[in-house]
Amino acid sequence: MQNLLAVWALLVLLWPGTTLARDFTVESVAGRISDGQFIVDARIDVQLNDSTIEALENGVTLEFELQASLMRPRRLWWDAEVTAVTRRFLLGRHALADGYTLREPGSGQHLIFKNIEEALAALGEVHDFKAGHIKGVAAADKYRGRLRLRLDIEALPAPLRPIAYISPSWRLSSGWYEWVFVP
Amino acid sequence: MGVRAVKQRLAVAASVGMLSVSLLGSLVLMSAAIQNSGRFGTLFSVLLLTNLLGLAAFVVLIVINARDLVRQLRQRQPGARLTLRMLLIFVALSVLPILVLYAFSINLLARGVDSWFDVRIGQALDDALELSRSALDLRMREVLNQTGKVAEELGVGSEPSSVLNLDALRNPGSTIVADAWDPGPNDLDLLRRRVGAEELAIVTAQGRLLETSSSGTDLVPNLPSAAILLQVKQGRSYTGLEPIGSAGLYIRVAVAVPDGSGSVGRGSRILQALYPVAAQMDDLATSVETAHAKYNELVYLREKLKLSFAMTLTLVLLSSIATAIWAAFFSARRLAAPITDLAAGTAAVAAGDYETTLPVTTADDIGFLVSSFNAMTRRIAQARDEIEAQHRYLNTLLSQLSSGVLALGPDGRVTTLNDAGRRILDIGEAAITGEPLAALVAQREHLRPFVEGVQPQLTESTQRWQQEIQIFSRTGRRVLMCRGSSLPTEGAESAGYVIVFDDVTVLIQGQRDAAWSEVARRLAHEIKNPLTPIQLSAERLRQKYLSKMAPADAETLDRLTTTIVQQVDTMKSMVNTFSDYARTPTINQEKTDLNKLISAVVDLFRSANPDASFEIEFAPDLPTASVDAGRLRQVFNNLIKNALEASGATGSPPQIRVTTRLLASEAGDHIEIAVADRGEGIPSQILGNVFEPYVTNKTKGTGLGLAIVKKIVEEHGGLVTLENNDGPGACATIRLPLDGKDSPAEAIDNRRAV
Repeated sequence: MQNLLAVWALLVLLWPGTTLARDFTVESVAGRISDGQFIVDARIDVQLNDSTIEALENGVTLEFELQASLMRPRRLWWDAEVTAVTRRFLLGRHALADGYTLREPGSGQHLIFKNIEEALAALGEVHDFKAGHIKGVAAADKYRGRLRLRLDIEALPAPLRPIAYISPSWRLSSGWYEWVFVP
Repeated sequence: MGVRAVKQRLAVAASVGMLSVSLLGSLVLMSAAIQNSGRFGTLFSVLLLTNLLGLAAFVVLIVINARDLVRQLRQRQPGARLTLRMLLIFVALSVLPILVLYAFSINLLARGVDSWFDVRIGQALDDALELSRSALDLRMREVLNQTGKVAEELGVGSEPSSVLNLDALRNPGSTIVADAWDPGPNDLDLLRRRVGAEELAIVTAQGRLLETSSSGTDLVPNLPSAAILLQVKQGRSYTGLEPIGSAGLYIRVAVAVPDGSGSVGRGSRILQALYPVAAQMDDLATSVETAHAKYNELVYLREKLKLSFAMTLTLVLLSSIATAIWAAFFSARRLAAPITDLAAGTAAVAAGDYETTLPVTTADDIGFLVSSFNAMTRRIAQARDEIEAQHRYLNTLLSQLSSGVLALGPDGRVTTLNDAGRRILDIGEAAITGEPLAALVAQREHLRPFVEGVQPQLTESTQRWQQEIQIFSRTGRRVLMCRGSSLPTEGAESAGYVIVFDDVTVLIQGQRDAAWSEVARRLAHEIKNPLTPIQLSAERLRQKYLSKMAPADAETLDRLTTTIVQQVDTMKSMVNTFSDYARTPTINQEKTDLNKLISAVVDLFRSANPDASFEIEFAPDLPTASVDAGRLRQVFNNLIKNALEASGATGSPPQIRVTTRLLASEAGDHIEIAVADRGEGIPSQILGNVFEPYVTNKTKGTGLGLAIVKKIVEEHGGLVTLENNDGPGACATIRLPLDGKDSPAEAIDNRRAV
């Protein structure tokens, strides 16, 4: 599926008039190591556009993917991945409660918000993101931290997917936000 | 079945397989979409991409095929138009039904999807949701009241001296000293149990937990969010329905704990309570919520679903059309291939290549056609070989003929002239095939009598004809005996004419020579015999009566008898000459140096004719020849004498040039002796007959000089010719074989010796 996504991404990039949407913006990010774990705190400004809001209001659950990784730069070769962890968040509309639910299936966390802004703010507030155990990280080395939040098109209902593949308004992503990390 | 055929069938099978897989995949996709959206979801991207790639592959194949076909059409290759026509038919036959099916399918699909949705169902679900809300609202108001009362109860009394120390609470060994007003944890528990809440918590306005009581085992209380705290601080109690994890629906209530001031300030406390919704109510409400959400989603996705289905169907359509078009290309090529081969083969046969054979790949009508074609080319090749063999045979025959054969087409153009014909007409190697007969005259004036003699026969009559025609070639007059007839006609049109001609000059010459020899022999015999008695009688008369007669009579007698005797002598010498001419030759051959012999003869003439200039050019290394020197001396005598006489007529001093040279040829070595003068030349009328007796343009002489020259030369196996020079005068040329009469010199072609 990753390959397919890559192919689609290539197709979309080559599509005339396409621009990479940057609806999510990483405003601040900080990494630290605690108890042998790479921990990320970040604030991401998450904005949805009309298409995604409309789908959300009509009961479509949006799945977001928050990815963080730590890379060790190498000379003459690709960077080595020290650790990489992906978290998934599901944003949905709860008609009975007249609110928006934000769930993380991995942790069982379940939050409800009265309005969408609160829900998105909660989504963008990354606090104590345990991005995996790390071993052999030398304090003197310079590392590269990476963070990305994006809407997972593949998790959308199938009838929506062809449009999402083609339309740029569905490709919501912060892009890889990278920072130099010195342990 | 050849490897090619097997490959073709494999390709067909592969293409059909690809089509089937593509269609099957799409069908699975669609049925899965209708029955189970989860499965559809996982397959969707894969199938979409597979179909697109398959489609692209077919499009590439079609483009390649189409480009090939266009190129073939432009180059007007055989079979290309047929392929195009069959292709169009196949495409029309296959694509039209698919399009009709597609249109109906799209229509049915749209209607089918629309039929899932009903305004009444939507309304009913909305109503159900509203009903659930109403029911829950009732409960929410109830619990709000209860919580309000609890808050009021809590509000009675003074401020707590300190905030709750949770760590101290959790420590079993610690001692907590409660104030008198403080209901304590047990009181909060009591309150919680009384109102039936799941959890009660007291927090500060800033959200800091002061006290909590929970029925569950969760040590961490579910605290109100900042928005709720803000709302309560603004004086509005909060009540809301919240699904909490898997625990189901809860009602969260947050109210301010009154502190007597009547307002909610920074130091105020807030009481939060979580009430569970009754299990049945929870289930029903959750069910309504889920159904409502699902239905709404379906309604929202309806158009997208239709679009997806239409897209899938379109993919199937495009794949089918692409496959059909490619299959059409394939089938058209396959069907047209034998016909293309046949066309190419026919073109090759038309171009003269009869070796063409085509592979018979099928056992059907086209296979029969191909094998018939092969049989035809085989027959044609056979017939051509036979014709060529006959042609060669005929050519060999014609070339071996000593008669000239000239064949003309119906339009009078030359079609064939054999070697003998070329030699007789003195045409050489010039290409004359295809030229009209009349055109021969343009460059070869000597052929005019021949062409003028033959031409009327071609136009006037188709009967057999025979005619004697004389032409004057470089070697003199030639008598041609021509016979001709028209070739067997093919239908109404004449197939042409054939003329066979022989050079009968030699034959006629031979006959004349024989006749002259006979005349000479008879003359010699009949005249010579009476001459001696006449001479003797005259001498006797003179002897007997001269002395007895009177002087006057005696003188008369003497004159008369002398005249008689003189004339008889003259007659005798003439008869002797005739006798020489007629005499059967007896040649005494001996090795002779011809240069020396000729030199001696020339010296005699040189002394006798001081005016004349004699130029001699002898080959220095001329070998000796076996000849009769006496008789040859006579030949050179006659020739030089003739040359002097011919030169004398012009009035200027005679110029005689005598040359000898050695000729090497395949037929043997020859000595050529040429005697040329610069006299008046030979009139063309007698040029062909100068070697006949009494053919001369001179007033004196026996008229046998050149006849005797020819006779002697021929006795030596040589030949003599007399031609006018390009300039003034004529030239007599003698060719003698080195080895005498029996040498192959005769093979030189006696007919040229005139």
